[in-house]
Amino acid sequence: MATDFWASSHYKRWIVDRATLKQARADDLVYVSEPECLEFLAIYFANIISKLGKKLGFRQRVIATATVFFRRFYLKNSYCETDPYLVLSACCYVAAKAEESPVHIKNVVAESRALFSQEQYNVKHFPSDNSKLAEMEFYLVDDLECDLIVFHPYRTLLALCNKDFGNSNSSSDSPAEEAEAGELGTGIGADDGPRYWGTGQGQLELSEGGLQTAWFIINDTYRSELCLIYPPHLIAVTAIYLTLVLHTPTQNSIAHLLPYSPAFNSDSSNSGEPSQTTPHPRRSSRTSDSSSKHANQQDPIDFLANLNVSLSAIATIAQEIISMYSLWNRYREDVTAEEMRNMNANANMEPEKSSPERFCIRRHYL
Amino acid sequence: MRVLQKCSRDVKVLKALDREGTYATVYKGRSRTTNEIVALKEIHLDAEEGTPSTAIREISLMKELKHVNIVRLHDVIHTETKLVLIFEFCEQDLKKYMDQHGERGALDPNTVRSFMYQLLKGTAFCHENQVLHRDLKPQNLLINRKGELKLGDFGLARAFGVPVNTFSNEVVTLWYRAPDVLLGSRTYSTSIDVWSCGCIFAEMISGLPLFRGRDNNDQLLHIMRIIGTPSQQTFDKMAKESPEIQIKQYPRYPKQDLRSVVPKASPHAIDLLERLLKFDPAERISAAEALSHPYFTASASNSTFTAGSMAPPAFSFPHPHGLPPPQQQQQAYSRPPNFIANPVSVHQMHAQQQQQAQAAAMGTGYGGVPMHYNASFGHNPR
Repeated sequence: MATDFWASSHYKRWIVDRATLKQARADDLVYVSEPECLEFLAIYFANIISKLGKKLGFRQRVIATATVFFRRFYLKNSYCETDPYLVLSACCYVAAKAEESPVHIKNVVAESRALFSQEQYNVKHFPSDNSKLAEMEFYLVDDLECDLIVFHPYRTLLALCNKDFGNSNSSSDSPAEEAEAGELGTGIGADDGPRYWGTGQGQLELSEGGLQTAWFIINDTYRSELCLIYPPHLIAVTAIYLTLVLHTPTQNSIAHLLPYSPAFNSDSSNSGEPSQTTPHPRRSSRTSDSSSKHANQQDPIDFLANLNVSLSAIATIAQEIISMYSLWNRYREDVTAEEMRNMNANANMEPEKSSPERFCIRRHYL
Repeated sequence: MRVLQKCSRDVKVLKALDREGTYATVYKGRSRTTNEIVALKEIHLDAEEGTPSTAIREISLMKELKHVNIVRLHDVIHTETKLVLIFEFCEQDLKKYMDQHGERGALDPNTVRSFMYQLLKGTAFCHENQVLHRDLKPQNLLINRKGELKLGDFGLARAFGVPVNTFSNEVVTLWYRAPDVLLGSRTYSTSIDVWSCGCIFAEMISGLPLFRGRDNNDQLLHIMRIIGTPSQQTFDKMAKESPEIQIKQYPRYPKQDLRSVVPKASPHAIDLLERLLKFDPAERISAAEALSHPYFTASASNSTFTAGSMAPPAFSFPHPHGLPPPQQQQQAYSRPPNFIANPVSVHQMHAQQQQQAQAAAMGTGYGGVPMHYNASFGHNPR
């Protein structure tokens, strides 16, 4: 939101490694049938936050912030010793305040109770007392160390894709509508982009559909722990890369710019010969026709190559996003909800561990 | 003022300060670990509603904004019933400083220049980092013993960027509120703080608030009497940029010459003031641009300090950590800073003093004690 990402608490304190994540889930591992269940739980809770956020009328950015708060809280705590449903409600409540879209505590309690009492969740114990949520907010803010400014990939996406914010004609569900205060790169204005991304080549022009796809990919990353492992601008660049690869209309619109495209081999295509299978150098083999026709269009390969980011990191993140989609295909909400109930039941049967005293307050909500 | 008995493990509370915020009480305290004097802002938590959103806003922004001209938030102590924000201590706010050191509230030109430079520096830093303060006024500008001016009370601040129709127009104390906000604009940006800086600038020079309205409409009339009623064209342009603006019929006041309104101001000061106080927000100078104005870059006057006025800060911006050793510190207070004796620009002065200060104070705190703020208040860094 505000300030320079590189000087922020987000970068300095809340980007962690895999080992830290593994350690954070160590206690929960005892209560699940297999380790993959913990990854299913990450999807499960992100889905609930999204549903609750939509019921409360939150913008996507607020939902994303709530999800990050939830993930950060569970870097320090375990599911089995806390009430994740109460925690995620508190995350939504705090995120709304932090993102300047505050909602009344009564609304959060009412909507949470209505959502969690549904058959698929079957949470009978959610407190009706506002003060319990206020108390949970207290613990949450404490564990987040009051670091409530969260950077998201959305702003970088919009900065890199040359989104015209002033365009009032854009449809109401377009990502540009989400581009509220400060969403122009990692704490910077659009003009400062090159200072961070190292591209003098201008921005990539994605179609509305392409931008929407990249936006949805970013939404989906919150179902994994990626927001705790990688800086948001890398996730944004990966979303653009995956859009170029996976979004068919975008692929078609940039086909003439790619090295294997017939547009690069106009000699052979004009003479009716089959196009060569060996790639030509990208610039020298372009005809004046094709280059003038698409003169204004940014070459996506050039664009990615000129960004001041590690392309191997982008490739790694892309693999992780694809793995997350593969996991999501196997995910079943009812099974995961049942797993969560079992975990809580088993954890409650055990004598109190030497956990911090404050968790005892919350254990009886389980 | 009464000495409070309440002491925590980390901070001993010394006395209540008469700085009552909208949602907090401020105390003076001393860190038990560093012996450093600090300001404690105590926010009571509502059992029903939890932490006030103003507190959430202030804490989250101030944890990220670190600059010599912004009050530093050292730590946050969270207890069951209250939240205590531990800030660096500043002796007084600009309002009190003007009352005590000014000639009927008016400060001498060199002090005005120094404070104005620091105010714009802090404001520009906020704006660079996409934060609007939204409540700049003399009571929220704090001054320490070294003559450093710092922006405080970020309870109304918010992050910004592309203007959106979600901002409240109930911001900024009336006298320092920009005309576009008074007209109902909710799509304001950095220019709202720039207007407040202009009002504060005029007040430091003259000793009196420039526009003292009783209510929204009266405030607008006060503004128009001095800077003139804008043309219909200007109103239309503003309404186009902020459709929620309500424009009524206003008396046609001619623009007054600011030299007659603020007679003590130098020609450069008048020019800067004109640029800060443009009715149309789009025409207002930015805080960063204002720092390069001839008022700061031209040679400073050769006049000496008036009795009782505080010397401008003896350090450059941004300020290196800690204070100089005691003997140098004494020197800084007992005689006016270099730029009064030798007319050099504010920028040159800051460059010279940057070197002196770094040599004298690298990494040391009070009396040469290293300062480790993370450890100061029992806060364990992750």
